[in-house]
Amino acid sequence: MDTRRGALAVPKVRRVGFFTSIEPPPESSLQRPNRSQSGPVDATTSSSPLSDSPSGNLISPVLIPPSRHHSDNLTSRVAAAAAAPVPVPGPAAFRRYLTPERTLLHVGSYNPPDSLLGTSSPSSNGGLSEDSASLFGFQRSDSTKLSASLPNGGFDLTLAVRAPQESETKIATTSASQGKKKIAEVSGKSESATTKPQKEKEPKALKDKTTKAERRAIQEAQRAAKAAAKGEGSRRADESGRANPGKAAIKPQPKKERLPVTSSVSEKTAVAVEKEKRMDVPQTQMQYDDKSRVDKAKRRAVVEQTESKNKVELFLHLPQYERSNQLPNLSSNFFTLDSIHHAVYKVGLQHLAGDISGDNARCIAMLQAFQEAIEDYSTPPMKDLTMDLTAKINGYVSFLIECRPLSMSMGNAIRFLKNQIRKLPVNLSESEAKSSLCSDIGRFIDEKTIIADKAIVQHAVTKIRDGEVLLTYGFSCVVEMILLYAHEIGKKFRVVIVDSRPNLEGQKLLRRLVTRGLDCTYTHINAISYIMREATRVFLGASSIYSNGTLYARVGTSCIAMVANAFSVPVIVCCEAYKFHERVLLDSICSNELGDPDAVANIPSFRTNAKHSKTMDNNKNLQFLNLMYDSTPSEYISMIVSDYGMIPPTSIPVIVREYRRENLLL
Amino acid sequence: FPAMSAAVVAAAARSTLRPPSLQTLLEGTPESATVPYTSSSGADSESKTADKSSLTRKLKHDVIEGVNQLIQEIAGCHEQIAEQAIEHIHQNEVILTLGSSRTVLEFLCAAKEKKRSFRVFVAEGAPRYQGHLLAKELVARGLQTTVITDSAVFAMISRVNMVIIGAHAVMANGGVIGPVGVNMAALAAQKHAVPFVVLAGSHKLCPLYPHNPEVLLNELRSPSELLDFGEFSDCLDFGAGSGSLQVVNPTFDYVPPNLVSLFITDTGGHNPSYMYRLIADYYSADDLVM
Repeated sequence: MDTRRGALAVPKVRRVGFFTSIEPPPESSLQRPNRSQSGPVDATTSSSPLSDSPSGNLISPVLIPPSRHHSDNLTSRVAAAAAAPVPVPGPAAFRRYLTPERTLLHVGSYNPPDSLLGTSSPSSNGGLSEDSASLFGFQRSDSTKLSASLPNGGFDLTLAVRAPQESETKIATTSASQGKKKIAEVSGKSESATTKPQKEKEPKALKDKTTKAERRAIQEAQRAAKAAAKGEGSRRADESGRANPGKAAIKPQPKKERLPVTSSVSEKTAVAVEKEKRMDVPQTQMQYDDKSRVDKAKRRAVVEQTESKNKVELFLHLPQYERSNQLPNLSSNFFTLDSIHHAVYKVGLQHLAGDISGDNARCIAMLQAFQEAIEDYSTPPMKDLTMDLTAKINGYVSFLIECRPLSMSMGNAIRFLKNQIRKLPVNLSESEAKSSLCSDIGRFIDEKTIIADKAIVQHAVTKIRDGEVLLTYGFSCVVEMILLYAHEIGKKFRVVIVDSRPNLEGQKLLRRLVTRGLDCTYTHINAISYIMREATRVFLGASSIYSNGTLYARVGTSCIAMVANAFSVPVIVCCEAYKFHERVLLDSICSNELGDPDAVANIPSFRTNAKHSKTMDNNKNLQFLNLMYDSTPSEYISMIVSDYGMIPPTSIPVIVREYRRENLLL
Repeated sequence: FPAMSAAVVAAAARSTLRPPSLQTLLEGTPESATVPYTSSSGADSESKTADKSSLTRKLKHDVIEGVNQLIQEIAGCHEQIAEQAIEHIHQNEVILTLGSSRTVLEFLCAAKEKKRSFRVFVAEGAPRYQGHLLAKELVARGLQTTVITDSAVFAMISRVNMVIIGAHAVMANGGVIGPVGVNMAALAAQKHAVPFVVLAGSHKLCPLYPHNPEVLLNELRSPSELLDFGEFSDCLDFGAGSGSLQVVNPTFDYVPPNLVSLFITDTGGHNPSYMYRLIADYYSADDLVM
């Protein structure tokens, strides 16, 4: 670290991961060894039409933005409200980071380095120092979390603007209220250290003063304040708490909304810090062997489910339902249920019928249904828009869960949506609020999936050389895009598609690739030991990636990765960043999804030489297990290509943490 | 015997040291038959032909007896292997198997009869789906069975105590030729430190050393088991810009000896590194091409 500080002027970003940029970026001393610079610097990367992609002309590595962005990046309106009076005047330097420059960094960090370094370098020094001084303990836009954590109705009425600068200046003044661990990270992350040293010492000294007794006093004060202002906060919290039985991803909402409206800023911010620390531990999913919760969920259920008779013991904690009568029941109820919007109902039916598969498709369909629902929504009289809309969304979400358990990426998307709802300023009219929410959803879809996929394709295509044999498993839309794009730009390669029962998704991919003119080989998963000798790279898609680097993807992916490892074939996983999650996973049993067991039991009878006797099916000794997902340990994965660049699996928690603070991830 | 060549001398020497192979017998008989024939002046040629026919009759008898013995061995190996089941399966075990093998079926049922309680995961074994047949037979005999797809092998193996498979052939180095998919199961078992047990009758022992076994000792079956004929004919237009489609459907899989924990044969349990010694019991040195 010291050598870095001494050698260059002001290093702005810390680069991690793999590099494929052709021109070496300015801070060459910071970089890890540039693997691909010595490798084939393909002419195709420079000649390919990259101008329209936000990653610019460089295939830039992953950039960890410096810890200075407090602006509510996804909504520019907060930054625009910088003119509000600040009750506690802070030093003039504090206001510097409210400049509109901050709003530049709202789309993923794959902005080329010039935008970070060039335009914002003068302000970044001050910004970084202020950040570490003011939010010792908070990085980036924790203020957004704070501002979001304060209840919408109460706080915003008392103070005209809920702007990040307020909370930050208050935090600066309330020096004794934070006693958290994050000071180490502040010092660890401060790249622009040249101008900061003295400011850093302040927060460190302040932190030491907070003792345990002080913290306990703060908590007592919080509790008293909470009891005083229970009405609004607790009602909202209860609604959202009850309506979400099993959502791992939207855990912080009830806790945040329970924060009391107090006049004491220090308690608020202290409470926010407490909440945030608790929020860091993800809520556990609903366990289906807990009888009381299952019954409670059943009573609220829209869809009638009959539990399957022959449950596999090992999976008693996951729902195992009979699929046969769900779809007819649900479709017959289509016109009678008015609690669920018709677009959401349709998406639920599609999930149940299995028409939609693939994480991106499911997520986009769900978000578009929510867009429609929000457009048609009208606030009932005497109710607050945010609360009511949040409750409605919770209702939709639990309906969708009943149709098919949500994936991690869908959970992240829902959390984003709820965040946006909560951050709506009170002074917006209903139509304005609805249109802003719809545009937020549209932007989320665009940024996180469509543009992200383009970025991933640009990165991954550099890893394909002529003469390669690429192996892929199942049907991942991102991998399909990569292969088609590489074929378009003229690379010569062969594709091996590995497929498995019961979904046989690989046949869809096979059809698409062959019609476009690629040379394909098709085989089933048992034959991977045979075919892996020919493969040079393995490209896999993902459903989500956990913080310990474990890949959660279609069942069979782990087998592919393991055999690839045994034959020393590199495994490249292509995954958008919104699918990263902060939970951790060790094996495939604890968290999974069980599909229809009949899909495994029904095999075309001409395949076997014996008759398929129905009498055996009701035998309680015989069970069929149809796992949908499995977990691949991180040591089998060589590289993850995301829209933030190419990273090793060990960098996933770093990305989740850095970008979630900024709200860049979601 | 002046007419004897060096090769004949060598063959005679070999045959005194080891039991003669069929080839030497068939080669040596006319030689030894002709030698006294040529030496004699032909006076007792009738007795010589009588000797020769009795020799061939004895030879035929020996060969037929040998074949019968082999048949009995093959038929009886199941019981002998199944007798050892009780030593390896204890209570509350979880066993994984792939495809269908009668040896495995007998093995598991023998353990069940001795009142060991365990459950079995059966991977269905595409593309022939023999696993379903094995599962039904196991259920018929009262064992708790769960059928899983082949892709779930790695996912489930963390909860499995032992992997038991049957072999198609056992190679001289201790490697196993088995139904397709066993290599994947063997790698998964190694990663999770699960014992990988191969059941093989001694008649499956092969004196060949596997060089590039996936290709040379494999058999590629019809692609129609994976894709129906005509299913993809609409996208393959065989024009200039179309791609090609190749379907690979191997029958067998090779498991290297370092992944196998134990061989259970009708002569007992053995290490993979020991299997080459057994070859000498069943094969004559003349027949070995090593």
